[in-house]
Amino acid sequence: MDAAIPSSLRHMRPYALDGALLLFDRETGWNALIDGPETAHLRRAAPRVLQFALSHRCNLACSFCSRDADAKALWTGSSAFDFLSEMARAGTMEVAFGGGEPLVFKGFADLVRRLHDETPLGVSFTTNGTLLSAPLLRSLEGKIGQVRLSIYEESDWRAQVRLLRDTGARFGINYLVTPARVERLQDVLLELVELGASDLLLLSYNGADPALHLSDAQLAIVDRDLAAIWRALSTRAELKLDVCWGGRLPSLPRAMSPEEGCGAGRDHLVIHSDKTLSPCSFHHLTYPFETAEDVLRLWEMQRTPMRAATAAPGCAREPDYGLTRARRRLPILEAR
Amino acid sequence: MRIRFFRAWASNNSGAYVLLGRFRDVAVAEAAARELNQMLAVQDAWTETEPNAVGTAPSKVFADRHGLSFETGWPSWRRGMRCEVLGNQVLLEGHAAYMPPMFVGWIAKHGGHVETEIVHAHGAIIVRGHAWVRNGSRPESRDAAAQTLGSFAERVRDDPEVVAALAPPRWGKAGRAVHVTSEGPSIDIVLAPHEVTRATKAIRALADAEGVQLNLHVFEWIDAQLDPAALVAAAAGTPSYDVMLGDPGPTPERVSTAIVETTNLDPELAEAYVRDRPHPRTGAPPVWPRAIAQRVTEAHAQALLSAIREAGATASMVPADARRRFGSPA
Repeated sequence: MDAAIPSSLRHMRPYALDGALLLFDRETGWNALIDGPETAHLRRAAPRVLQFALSHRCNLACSFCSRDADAKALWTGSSAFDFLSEMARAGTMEVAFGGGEPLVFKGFADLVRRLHDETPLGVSFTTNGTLLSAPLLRSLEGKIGQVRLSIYEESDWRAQVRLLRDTGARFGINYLVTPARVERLQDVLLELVELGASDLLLLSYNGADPALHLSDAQLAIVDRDLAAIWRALSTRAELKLDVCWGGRLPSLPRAMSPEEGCGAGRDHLVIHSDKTLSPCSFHHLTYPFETAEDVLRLWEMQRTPMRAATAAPGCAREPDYGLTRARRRLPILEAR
Repeated sequence: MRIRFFRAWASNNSGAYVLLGRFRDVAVAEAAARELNQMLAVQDAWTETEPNAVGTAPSKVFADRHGLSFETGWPSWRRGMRCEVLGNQVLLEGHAAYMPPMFVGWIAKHGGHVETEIVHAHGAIIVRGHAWVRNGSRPESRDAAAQTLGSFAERVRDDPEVVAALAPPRWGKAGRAVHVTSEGPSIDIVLAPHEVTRATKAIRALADAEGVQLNLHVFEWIDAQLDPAALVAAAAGTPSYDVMLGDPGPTPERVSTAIVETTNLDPELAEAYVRDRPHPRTGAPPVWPRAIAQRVTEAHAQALLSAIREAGATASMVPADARRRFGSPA
């Protein structure tokens, strides 16, 4: 296979997909996806990405957060490093820290630097932004792929975006599109770009609260508005949709076809603070583990169950996104 | 061979479940909770050893045995969730994006009823406890009852478990306060705790120790614009304050940032407050001085006042009731 890789791409780290080869440069974020007869025999050896909650602790108390704030915190900086090093040796390419709020984890910056310096892993993290500071960002310069800032009305996200911009950090925005945000979606996205953001990831809601799922009419508005703003932003910013949207925004061009599906459980796994894993952040399945070897075994052995749609409505693995499931019924008292 | 290029790094993105049920007496509540907790413990152990084999989850077996609807066949909650007995009430608190109706059914099956079920809450959970002394309204008992309730209220305010259950210092997201209001022969306690089970359990234990009757309610604070502390303060017997902004000064942006940082107020609203703009939601025209926080505790009012004054604003705090009675001070 090496012979088939153009010499200009050989500095990139290879990762075998099922029938294809992915090359990744963690310093620039460039990926090259190669497929053809030459790659047909290739098979994955490890999950490509680990979404990692070092702790489920957070300095905010957002009750909508899907993390279990009471989950045991079993990781130390050292044990997380050892585990991730082993996963990197097995083939994992990237770790994306989330939480809980990763910046409340003691020694987080040291862990990031060590992972960058001593492993080939690409390291990123998602934060609520409240603990970001210029010294912290400077200390991580060159060590992280990017910072992803989640936008909450309750926090001063404008100041956080300015800080990221002013310190030259490479960053992107995570923005959950809820019914309340539909009307001003364009305004907020444009303001984010004006503030200096150039990578905007729009998340769809997964969960049981019907008030947070977009109606068909709202989806149509989002589809229309995003198509317009996508053209308007043109080269100024990248607009991205998370995979959970599926095909619900048909007017928007997709880099990868929604039919290629969601990689939860195969391409990526979520590692929780209590040493359990899940296919994705919203999934009802959890598996306890101790070692990297356990994770690789579960990843291989539990492939079929982890292909299931999550019980939470909004999952693109359900034909109807799980949004038309029968209303919950109270069991009749005769059941006594 | 085809090569496609794209630029991307991995990212990581991420509800509270609260169920409050009531039974006819403590014994039924305890029996129902005990059986449920046994199942939950077995479920936890099973999850450790035989993760997620379809159809064999103890919770599913339990649901089937008792004729309870489970729908997905999968446990949707995280491990460690337990049912807490609070007198004849029970509280089940966890984190879940979706919850099968099994627990609601379980309470109904024991002759109880669900007072509140909140699935995947998006706001702060507010706990309201109505406390009284049995026969405390009889003339001969009134003084003793008032004394008992006073002692109970003091202990609630100072109890380390209650204090620990309140959340970190930023008070915009979930009011970190406990307030007691006295109304005749009963009192109301309102708090917005970070740890609902811990707070309710502590209050229940104090009520039992003082011989106080207690009825708990929980609800979700759904107004994203208002601090739940305002509700807590409004329910308080102690005075509450409004913070009035007279003049934002030469650096309104610093004042706006100070408001947001101190209160977690929507930045758009804070920005409108410091500029000469109508209220962004109600459209009300700007009137100076502007109330930038209403019915908040004295400590909160002072914190906000000092932050915005430091940012260059001219501001004052006034007792909320006085302002409503006499109008805004000039």
